[in-house]
Amino acid sequence: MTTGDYTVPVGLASDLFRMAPLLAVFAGAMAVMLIEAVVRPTDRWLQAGISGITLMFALGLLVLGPSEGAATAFSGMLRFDAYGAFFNVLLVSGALIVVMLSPDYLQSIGVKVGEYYALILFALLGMMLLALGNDLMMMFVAVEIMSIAVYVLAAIKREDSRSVESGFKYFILGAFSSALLLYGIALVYGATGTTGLDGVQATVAAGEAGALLYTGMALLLVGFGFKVAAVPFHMWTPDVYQGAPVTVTAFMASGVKAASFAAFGRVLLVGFLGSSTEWVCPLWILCALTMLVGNVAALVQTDLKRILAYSSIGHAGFAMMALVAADGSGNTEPASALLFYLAAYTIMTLGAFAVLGLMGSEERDTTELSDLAGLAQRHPYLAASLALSLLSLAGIPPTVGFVGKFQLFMVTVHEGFVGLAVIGAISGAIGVYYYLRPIVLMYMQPGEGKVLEVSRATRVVLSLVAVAILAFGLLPSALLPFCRVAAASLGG
Amino acid sequence: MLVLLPLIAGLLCFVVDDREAKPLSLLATLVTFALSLLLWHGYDPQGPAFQFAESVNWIPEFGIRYALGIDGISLLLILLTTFLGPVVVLSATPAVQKKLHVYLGWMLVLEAAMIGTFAAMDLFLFYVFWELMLIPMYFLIGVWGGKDRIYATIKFFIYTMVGSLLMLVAIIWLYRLHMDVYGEYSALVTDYYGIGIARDAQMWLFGAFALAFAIKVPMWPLHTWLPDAHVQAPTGGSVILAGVLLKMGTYGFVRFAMPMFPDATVAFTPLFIGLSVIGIIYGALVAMVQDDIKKLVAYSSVSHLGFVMLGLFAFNTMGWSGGIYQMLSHGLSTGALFLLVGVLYERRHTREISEYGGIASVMPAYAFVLMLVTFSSIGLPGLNGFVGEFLVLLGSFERSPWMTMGATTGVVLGAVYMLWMVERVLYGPQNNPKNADLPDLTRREWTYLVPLLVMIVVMGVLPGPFLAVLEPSVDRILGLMQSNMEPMSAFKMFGGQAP
Repeated sequence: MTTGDYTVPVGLASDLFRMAPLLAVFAGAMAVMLIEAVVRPTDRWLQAGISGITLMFALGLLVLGPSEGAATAFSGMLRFDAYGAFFNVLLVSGALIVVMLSPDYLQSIGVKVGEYYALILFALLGMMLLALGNDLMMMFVAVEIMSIAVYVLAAIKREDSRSVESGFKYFILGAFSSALLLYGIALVYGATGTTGLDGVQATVAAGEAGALLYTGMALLLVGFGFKVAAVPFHMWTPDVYQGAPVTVTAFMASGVKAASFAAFGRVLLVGFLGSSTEWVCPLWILCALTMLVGNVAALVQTDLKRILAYSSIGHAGFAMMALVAADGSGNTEPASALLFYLAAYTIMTLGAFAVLGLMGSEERDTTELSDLAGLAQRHPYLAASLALSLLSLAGIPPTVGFVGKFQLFMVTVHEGFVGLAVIGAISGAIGVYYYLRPIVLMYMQPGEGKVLEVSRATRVVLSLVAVAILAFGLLPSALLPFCRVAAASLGG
Repeated sequence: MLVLLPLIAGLLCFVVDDREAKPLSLLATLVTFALSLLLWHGYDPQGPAFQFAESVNWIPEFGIRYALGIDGISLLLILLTTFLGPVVVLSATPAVQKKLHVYLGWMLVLEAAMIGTFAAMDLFLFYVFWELMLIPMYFLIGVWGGKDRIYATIKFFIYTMVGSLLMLVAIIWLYRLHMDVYGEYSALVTDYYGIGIARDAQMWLFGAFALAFAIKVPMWPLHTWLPDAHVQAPTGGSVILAGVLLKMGTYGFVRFAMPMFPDATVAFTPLFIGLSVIGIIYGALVAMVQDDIKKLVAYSSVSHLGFVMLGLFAFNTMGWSGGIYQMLSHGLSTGALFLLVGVLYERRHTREISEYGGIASVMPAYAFVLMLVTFSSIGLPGLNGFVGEFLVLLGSFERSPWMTMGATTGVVLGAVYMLWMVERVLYGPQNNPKNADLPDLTRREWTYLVPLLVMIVVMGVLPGPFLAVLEPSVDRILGLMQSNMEPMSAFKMFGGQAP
């Protein structure tokens, strides 16, 4: 087993070797924690720096590391394949962007807690495991690693009642959904005698799946529905997104969602492959509801974070179209569309939050729509990049959001769910309205506001995001092959 | 090439300042126009269906190509677009007072998108350009528009979006069909002519496409965004909106909805003819009672575009050529009307008809130009409007004489409201002291009006060269429709004869 100059060891050592990116993130998190004990509390750049370097290192390992075919590790607990690798690259990049945005933002809102970076890294570790998890138990553990860190992150502004409320609410509801998830896993175990996805798949394929298994599966749907904020399990999203600090919200909207979808997709497309007749109907309803409610409810919001929260619900609905369309016919197109869309969504939502993050201050960490008035006069480039992100979220060509949505509609129509695609199109059209409102304010209404300081890191992030939105929008072929390979690796 | 030039120039305009943006954009639009003239020179009406084709693999995974090509119909519409380009750029100063370079930038991007839409041969590419037109227009109305510009621009955007997203679903459905039939993706529109879509499916697909296009045309009762958008848009925006954007809808019918779904087209014909006639008369009646000149012109567009649709649903060479000719001449004369309204507005900052009166005595040259354009708009023989209108009425008389009679009243009403407006603005006692010493047309205003006037006369006197380019393409599409349709529909539509 050699690839390039590496000699891949076998057995436990080989498993650990494949884990290298995760171990790097883990080591980084520990280092940040330890350093917290010795540095002055005013100086947080060190932790941010270490986290950034860790993430870049992990990203390097992921991209340049050996990429032999799919293989399971740790007795089938994890599965290293292109699907997991795709998500890991996406998650690490997302976390890197969040870390780049954080120091300035934290300083502006007066949060001086170094553990912040450690928590980001721990949460990331959970997400990466979640994307690789090939066993329901492993997934549950990963979900918990991720969620507990994010609960704390949401409440990291200890003096701010809204931040604490956000963390607390997320914790209570999150714990509840974790319980449902666990209960679902227990039922699946009861029905199949295993928690491994391959084992579940064997039962399903053998036609021995009974009511017990599908009850468990329904509970899993609820649990994952909560994590990806699908209607009607979305109630927590607006409050939590609004109360949490902006960078944490960005992290939740991009990372938590992508990782949850990774697991959701793997459970449905590997574990329950071939039983789509059983779950396609409830999922269809969830998906349609999520698209409609997310987009309609966003119309009446006046807080930008809440708008983006409902937008994230709506986008979860769009992404679920791909899961509905993935009917287990062995066609990997839907999964590929899902991956593309999640990548696109991560890029554009981070772009939007990056601008929001600049608007907070220690006295007043809110993001009212009206704060945006006249932003184009004061900061043309900030306004332009926010506008670009919003247009991409709205799915207007030639942005990456459009190509993503196009693929989703395409697979949905392709598999015969024309009705769902029409509902999606209508929701998309409704959504356009609230994505336009910030643009209207920025460009078409005069407004007085403070002049914002834009750090170099933020500038880099904004330029990267803008380039990515346009580049992948104009030349989707740059990203598509990766999505295809990743989607194909699920089955084989 | 024609698409890229204005696009690049437009993007350049965003970064340079106002003083440099003006010559830059003027040069870009002029060169684009010159290039499109070359295109006309090189175009062979008897040659293959689509000429100057470019085709580059764009998203090979989905068989999507960057495929451009033009036939006679798109050629003339592209000419109209590039012709209006420099006119609009010239009219921008001094009317546009803030951020001129951004305004010109958006204008050029818009021009690129419009040319792209007319030339796109790939459904996906067409959709991309179609949507791309929205963004510049949205900013043009929203930033440089009048008092209620935000309401108007959002209404415009949402209306168009609803239609086009459903069209996107329909495009995707077609995609799937091609995949099922031929085992590979293709989005080339020519691949879908005669693919043999089942009748039921055609109805839905036609519905989705037609909704998107009918909103854009706009057909009654989907027209309500138009008066708002027009009244609030800056002059240049109105010119482009009326001159070119509305034609996107009718062009869509000609290129996509009708030839791809001939059976459904026939089935929907009574509905569309009815709506067209209602639109003609309704637009004319509403125009008559307007106090605002711009709104009057906007409603007259509803009426005129009704004629275009009527011509298209006549399914004969005359109706189609007339409809398309009417598209061109409406672009010229309504564009000119909006420019003239803009001229008055710059001087007095009001568009209320009652504020004016007796202008002819202080602005004689203006009065002459306005009269000429008005005559063109109401279809006086010898000017451009007549040719299209006449052909449309001739063509549609063959199909539905009664409806045509209804439409003819629209012509009469058109003369009434236009002349009445002209009378109230230009003639009568000159009793508003504010109008006493208005300056007549400046040299700059002459510069952009004269080409329009020349074209108005030329297209009225010499329709031959234009029709010669149009007719082979029109015949080709009609022939395609006939041969691809079920015998029953073909009989209904063509009465068993060749078109």
